[in-house]
Amino acid sequence: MSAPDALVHVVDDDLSMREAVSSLLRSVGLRIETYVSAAEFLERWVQPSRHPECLVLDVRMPGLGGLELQRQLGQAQQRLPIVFITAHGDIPMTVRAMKAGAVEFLPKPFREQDLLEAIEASLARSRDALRDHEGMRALQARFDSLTPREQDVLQLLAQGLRNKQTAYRLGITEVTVKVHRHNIMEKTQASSVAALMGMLERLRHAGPR
Amino acid sequence: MQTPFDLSDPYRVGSVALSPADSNQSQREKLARIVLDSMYQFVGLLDADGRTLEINRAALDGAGLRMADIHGKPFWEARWFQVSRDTVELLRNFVHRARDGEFVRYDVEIYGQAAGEKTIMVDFSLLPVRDARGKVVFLLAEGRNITAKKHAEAEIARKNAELESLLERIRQLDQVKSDLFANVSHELRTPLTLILGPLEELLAPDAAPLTGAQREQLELMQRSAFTLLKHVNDLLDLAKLDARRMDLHYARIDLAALVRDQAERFHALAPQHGLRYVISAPEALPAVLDPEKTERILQNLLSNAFKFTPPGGRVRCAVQRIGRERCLFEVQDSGPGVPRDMRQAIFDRFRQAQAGTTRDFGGTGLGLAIAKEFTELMHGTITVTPATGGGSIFQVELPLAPPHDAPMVPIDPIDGPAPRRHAPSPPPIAGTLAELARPERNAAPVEAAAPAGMARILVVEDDAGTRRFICDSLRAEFAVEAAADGQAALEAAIASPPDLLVTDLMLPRLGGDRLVQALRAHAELKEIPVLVLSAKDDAALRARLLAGAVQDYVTKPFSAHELRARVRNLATMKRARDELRQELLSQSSDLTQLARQLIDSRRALRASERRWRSIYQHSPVGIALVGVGGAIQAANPAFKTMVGYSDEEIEARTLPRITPIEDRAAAQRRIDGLLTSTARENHMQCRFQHKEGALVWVNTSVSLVRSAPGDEGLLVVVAEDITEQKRAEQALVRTRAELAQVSRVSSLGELAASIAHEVNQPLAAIVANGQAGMRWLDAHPPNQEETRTAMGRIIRDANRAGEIVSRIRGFVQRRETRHAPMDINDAIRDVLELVGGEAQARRVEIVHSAPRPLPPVNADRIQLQQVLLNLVMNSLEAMGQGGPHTIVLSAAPCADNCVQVSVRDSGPGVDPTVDATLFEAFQTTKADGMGMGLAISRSIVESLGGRLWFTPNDGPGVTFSFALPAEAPEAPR
Repeated sequence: MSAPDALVHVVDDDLSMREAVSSLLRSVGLRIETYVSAAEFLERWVQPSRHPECLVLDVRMPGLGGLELQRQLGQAQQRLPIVFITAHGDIPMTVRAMKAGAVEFLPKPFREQDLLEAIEASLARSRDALRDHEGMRALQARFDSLTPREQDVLQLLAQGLRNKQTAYRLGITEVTVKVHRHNIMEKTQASSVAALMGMLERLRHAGPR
Repeated sequence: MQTPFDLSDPYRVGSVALSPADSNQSQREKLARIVLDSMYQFVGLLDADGRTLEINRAALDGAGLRMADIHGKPFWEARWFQVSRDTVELLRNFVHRARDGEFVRYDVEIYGQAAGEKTIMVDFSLLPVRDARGKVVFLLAEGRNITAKKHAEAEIARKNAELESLLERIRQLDQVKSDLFANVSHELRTPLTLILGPLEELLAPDAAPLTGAQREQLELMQRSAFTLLKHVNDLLDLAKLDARRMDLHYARIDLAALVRDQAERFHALAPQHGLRYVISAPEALPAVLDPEKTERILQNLLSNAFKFTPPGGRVRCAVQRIGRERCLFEVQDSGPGVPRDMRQAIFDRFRQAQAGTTRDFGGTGLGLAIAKEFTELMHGTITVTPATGGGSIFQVELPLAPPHDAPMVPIDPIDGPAPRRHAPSPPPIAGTLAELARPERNAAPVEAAAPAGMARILVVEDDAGTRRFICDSLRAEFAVEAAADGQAALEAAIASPPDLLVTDLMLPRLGGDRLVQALRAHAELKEIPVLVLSAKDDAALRARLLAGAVQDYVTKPFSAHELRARVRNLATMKRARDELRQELLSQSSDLTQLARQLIDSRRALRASERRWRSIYQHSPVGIALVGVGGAIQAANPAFKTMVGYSDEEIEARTLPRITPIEDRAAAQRRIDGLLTSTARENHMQCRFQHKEGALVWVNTSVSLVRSAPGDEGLLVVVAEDITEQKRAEQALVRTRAELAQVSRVSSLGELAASIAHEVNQPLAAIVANGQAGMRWLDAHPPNQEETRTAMGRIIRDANRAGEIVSRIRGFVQRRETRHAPMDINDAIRDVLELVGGEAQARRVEIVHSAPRPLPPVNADRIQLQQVLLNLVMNSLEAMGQGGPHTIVLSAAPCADNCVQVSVRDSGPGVDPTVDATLFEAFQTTKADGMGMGLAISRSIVESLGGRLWFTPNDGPGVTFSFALPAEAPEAPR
């Protein structure tokens, strides 16, 4: 699974673990960054990144614990999926972590295969998330290229208003409306009005940036 | 007729009144009355028939009568004669006889004194008074009081009778004596002869051989027999003289030769007595004398001279003619001389120059008397005069020829005196010489050192032979010392008080009875019993001595057997008394009282002994008496049961034997310490070994008792069996250790999760490193360096895991405590390792604060970890959830050279109501838990000499602290 641009962040207060995991992941060609604590990670992590990343995280650490960090990351977990490793695992903790969106929850000692698969899955997710993010950004750029009047027209269109209604609402001619509609379709590269609606829907879904 | 006395005034005498107016007749009558009434004698007048007509006042008063009582009544019926019926009859008889004209005079006893109460003797007379015609008309009765005279007469008569009888007795005795002496001579001489004869044969040169001791004794017997013979002879001679049966046998002799011959026999005595002896006689001196008697005179004089002259003196014997018809013997000595007032008396029989019992010189006192008798028999004279330069000269002057009519005995001057007429008997001189003999062997009594324990007898006797005899008799049973005179004896007794004194009465320098008196005057000598030996058979003296100062009195001759028996009795009694007095600390010398005291004290002692015996027998605590060498001399039942030995067995054992082998050296040191040091007792826990091998733990008290200073002493061992107690103690210790271990396990159990976490870390790392290593090796090309590094990390992590495991194992191990000096901070670090994971899980930060270096504390590391863990765990659990908490573990030196550790939390604190009980076992506020943690922690801290407490914080939470004494810092080099 060599993905030269992928990066795995390993956060564990235990030196032995850090070294061991680091050695293991490097042996399969992954890039590694290690952090002594969650606080150090938050401090050093640079975002947004253009390459896939994931996080290998111990649960029990002094200061900010693993689960705490997960909560703080929140949405960013899409692009930074978490694989938990812990020497002290119990079922409630596992459930919480998974519910909160972790990719995997591995007890120490773990089988290398389990860890590598979980990392692969995480990186895939991260890649997906990145792609999605890109796609969305492009889409958003196209829509952002719409003039204000075009955006108004789009908005009314999205509500289902006919051209005549839209022109009347905006105080412009129907023709102008049709011109705007044509430009919108070109700028957004929507194949159809339905597709355009779909794009709008998607944008709305993505939420505020 | 005018009276010659003055009667110018009337006066009265008794019942008579005289007046100038009286006529002569009446005056004479009155005077006659006065005479009658004033008379001392009794006077009365009776009529011819004996009826009382007139009685004078004296008679009336004597019988307490009045005239009216008797006037006209028969005289014999009056009170005077009521002494007896016979008296009355007698008087009547007198009256009749007097009436018949007889003058009657008798001595009669009548009531005539004290108004008729007492009798007197009167010389009574009754005189018939005739008238002119010669008819008896009156009887004149007179009574003269002769009581005193009668008594005197009676006395004289009695004394005369006594004297008469005494005189008679003396005459008889004298006769008896003379007869006795004379007739008994044979009886006395024969046995002596039969003694001396055989003795002579035994001692003859050609007789059977004798041992030295036998010869001495036989010679002693011979000398004594000779002396006895001499005394007998002297007495017999005197008796003969008295009985005038002593005959003179004149013979022609050479007086000078006789004197030389006799004098020379005394020659051998001179050196023995230490005297110079001079004999002076002419060539020849013919005389006609009784040779025997002359010899006797000389012998006696010489004997005296030798006896009385002290050593260093001089005796001179001389004879010479005086004039043509007389010769003069002289014997001079340089002795004490004869006092002037004794110069006559000294020739009396039995007279000695010293009165009383002090006899500086022996002898019967007859020598000089006989010499005088013999001298005078031969018509000579004997005198004693003082010699110039001290001493006496005895001089005998004799006529050279007897009166013409004296019978003569033919004598051959060459052969010497004629043979004796009696049966052969030793010559008197033998006795004389024997008496004077002073054989050297008898000079000083042998004083062999007697074994201790024998009673010591002091024998005082001046006669050497007798002294020796007494000493020899007593030597077998007693330690005998002897003295030859009273003064020496007194000095010896004062210097070294004997147990018994055996003394003669007749002693030189200080007589026996005076010696006893002197002894009794000394405090330490007055208890010494005295046995008096004496030939003097004076009953009065004997009684006096026995009543007072002397315990027994034996007359000579006595048997050795009897002497020994009496001495034994007295000595034994004295020793018994002394022993009792010492034992009973009594002053009494009454043996009965002492014996009673002894019985009483013995009874009391027995009662007391019974009580102690009972205590000893029934005591639940073991008591044993052990000799200083370790041998068990006695043990009470409790002791025997304790060590499982029977009576016979225990007394064959020694204290080391019943001590386990490994303890014997220490036990011996303990005993030695007691014996040598001033410590008198010693308390210790130690062990005995039961007969069957089991060990018996005992609390022993051992003390050394001595019954007297210098006594070797005895060890008294009191042992209380505490085996059960000890077992319980040991069980308790084990239980505590187990409990502590269980508690540790339990604590650790509480940390299980975090411990697992701890261990899992390195394990997981090992796995990951291993996997990584494999992949590095599979790389193209294989990455050896990475692999190697991975291997190294594996080793490191594996060791780390191993350490954690061994730390845990060490903590939970069941082990004995090992104390060593250590830094508490190390224990704190250990505990933080153990508890770190848990603290993290609870989001509690533990801060270890140790700003200054700590002095070492002597403790067991695991125990300290246990305490710290307990306190930290308590704090962790108390703080529960909710926000980050902090526990501060600080360690610092504190005052009094100790180290204080504090665990401060910020939890809910401790409810003041559970304060006191917090440290008790089974007290817990935790929902689950044994509640032993704090109890065990406190017991550990206190066993290290420290203390554990808690104080609420100013803010939230509580601080538990404990302080332990630090080791003294090492002295700088």
